[in-house]
Amino acid sequence: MKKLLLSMAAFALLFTACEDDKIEITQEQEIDMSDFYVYTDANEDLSSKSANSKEKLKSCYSMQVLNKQLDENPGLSKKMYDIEYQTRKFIAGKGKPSKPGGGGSGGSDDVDVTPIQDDLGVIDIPVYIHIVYPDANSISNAQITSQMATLNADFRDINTNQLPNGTTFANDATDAGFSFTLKGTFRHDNSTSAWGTNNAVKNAYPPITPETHMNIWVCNIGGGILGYAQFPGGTAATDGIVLGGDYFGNTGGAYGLGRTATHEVGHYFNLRHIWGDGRCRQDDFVADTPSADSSNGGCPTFPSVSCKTADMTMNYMDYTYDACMYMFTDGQRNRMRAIFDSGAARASMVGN
Amino acid sequence: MKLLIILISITLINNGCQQTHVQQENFSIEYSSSTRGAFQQIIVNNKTIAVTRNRDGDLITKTCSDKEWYNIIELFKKINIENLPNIEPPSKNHQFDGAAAAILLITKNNKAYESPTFDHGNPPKKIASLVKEILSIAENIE
Repeated sequence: MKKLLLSMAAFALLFTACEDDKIEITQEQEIDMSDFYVYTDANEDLSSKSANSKEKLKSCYSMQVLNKQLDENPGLSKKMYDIEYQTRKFIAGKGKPSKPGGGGSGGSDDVDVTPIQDDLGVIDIPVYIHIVYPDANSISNAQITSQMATLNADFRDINTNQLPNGTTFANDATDAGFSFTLKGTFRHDNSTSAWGTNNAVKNAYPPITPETHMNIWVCNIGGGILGYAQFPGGTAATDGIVLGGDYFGNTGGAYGLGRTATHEVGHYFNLRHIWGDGRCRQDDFVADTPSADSSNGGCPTFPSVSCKTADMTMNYMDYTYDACMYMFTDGQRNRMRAIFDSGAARASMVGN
Repeated sequence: MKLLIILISITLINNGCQQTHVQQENFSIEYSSSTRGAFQQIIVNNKTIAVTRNRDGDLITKTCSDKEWYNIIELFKKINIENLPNIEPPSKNHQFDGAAAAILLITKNNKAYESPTFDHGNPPKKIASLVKEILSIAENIE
């Protein structure tokens, strides 16, 4: 408890320190936020700048990043920073201390993260589904059932038997400990042919109790987008995920096994893309996912090497085909579960 | 006589084009965008534009018209390529799949300059005109 208080105090100091260089800040050890970014490449610029003028930027590094983000999107960025801080506190407090990130140095050492012991058990997520199509009955109940089954499997199954020979990923594959229960389906006939990704479908058919239920809209998105999500911390009026009907549940083709939903729910649970949305140096804040230079697509033959290590192309948060992605890692599990801890961004969903 | 004039003017056009070409230092522009369900890569150099629309696909190549090439060079000249890695993307929706993730890579005199990742459809202002021009030329390639 004392330790926690101390780290909270240190965190509070971080907020005041920038204005006053006299206060010397030693980098907070337990909750290191120095690598956090909301706007992916923003901190790459900053890190290159800080190489030139070390002192000042170094001590206030996280605030520099935060300030920049706050300028651009005040409310959301602050929220996301708070959520990230809470996530790291949760993981640091409950599990073995593990530095978020990892793999960034390109070393070949396998990082193993221990699943944290929380008291949350299998977290059940109540789900509302909104079908929005010219003929809303064109998405059958059987198709919905198949999607629910995929979510329920993917967030529990380890699937280590599917790993190719030669990976070091077997000890990373995890039972994320989530289940999903369908609480209602709402069908809306609407002739709109492409809804895009600007939340228009959510504005037309608002989410139902997004504080306690995950809302999924199924509609034609267009523009080559299979589905999109919203990170925790975003506005409640648009909270949830949107999926194209052709990629919803068991359909056909390379994206026909319902794993677009798995990927988007990963974002909804605060996971970043496994390559960190940038080059090698940009991280996904998960220690046991290897650093990667960019997304992988299709169904790669192991190994796909980038940043000196084999990419985890079979991770749900890469861009590979449905049949070729089949795991979350322990580190991703911890990150997702942190969002449901008491007081955390999605805590109000637990127990409904 | 008429034919001769036409021939001469064709030669002149060709020459003119080559001249622009020679004056310009060696450069190539590469635009790529990817999301889970879509991929596109466009490479522009030497008055040609090459497009591929899937990760393992072949490049479809065409020669730019004089006008297209002129536009590209004019827009290219306006870009401060040294600053390309530092430009600020106006949005980051690709992080949650709300847009394809795009990157602009420029190689000039054997040196590569790469933009940060930005949203396809909402490029940073400083490169927006060039990106738009390249995308519209690429769009017409079958």
